[in-house]
Amino acid sequence: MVHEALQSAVLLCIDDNQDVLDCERAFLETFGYTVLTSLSGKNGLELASIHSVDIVIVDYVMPDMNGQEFAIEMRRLRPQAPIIMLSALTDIPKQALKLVDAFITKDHLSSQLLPMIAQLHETVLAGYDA
Amino acid sequence: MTSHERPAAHKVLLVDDDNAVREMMTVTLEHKGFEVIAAANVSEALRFITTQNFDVLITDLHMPNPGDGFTVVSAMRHSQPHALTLLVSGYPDVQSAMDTILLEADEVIVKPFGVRRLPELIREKLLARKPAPRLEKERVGAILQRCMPVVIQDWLE
Repeated sequence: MVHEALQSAVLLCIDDNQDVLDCERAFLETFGYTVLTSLSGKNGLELASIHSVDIVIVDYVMPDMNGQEFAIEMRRLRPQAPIIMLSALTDIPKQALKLVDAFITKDHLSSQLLPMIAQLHETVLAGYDA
Repeated sequence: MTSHERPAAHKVLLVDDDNAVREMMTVTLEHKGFEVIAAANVSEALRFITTQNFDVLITDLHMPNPGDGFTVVSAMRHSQPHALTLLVSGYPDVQSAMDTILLEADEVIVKPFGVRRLPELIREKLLARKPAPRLEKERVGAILQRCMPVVIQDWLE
């Protein structure tokens, strides 16, 4: 039952790199998730305001609105949705890390992203059941 | 297609210098039933081409050095002419297109290219691909023996 719920989760991916965004989408859809994508934080917030989003995956380094600024706004919009922050960098400001539920470097995306999504979504589902 | 209906694994050489893209594409293609060998640069790709056989090459055109993608396509064409070659490019400029035509890449995929459809595209291209003509070797003696009646008949006439 939990497995079915995990597969039906809606993920919002935000990255200004079109190649990475395309690959994230294909990668996550391959494993049964529904994926919304955005090339900017601003557009991502618009998507989150009109769609039911279970988990957000956002890049840290982006023009206009970076991952930290996005996370602040996202917490106001949907405080219950877990946020996973991604970056090619490893020295992310502590203030940014405090705002999100998990941080994954892009070099470890393929190995760490799926387990992290499953773990966070199970936590959310457990919260609903409690 | 469900995970229970996987066809025989075609072996893919995937070349991309972006770690995140390369790793996610590798897992995606493997999950779709392909065997994937990934290379992060031209040197690695050339080493794999000379030591292993592949059914498909997927290479990014724009890697750190100019013409890198073409180098890989060209090497695969010469070393393994039967392999399907897919060149991924973010800039469909005329010169690149001309070079690609000259190199006879099977497909130029312009970004954003929809990675989701890539496994299906590969299978379509592999199915549509005509088998290269095989030239059977035959000894001169066998050719003479086979053609002798015709030759004698022509000579008598």
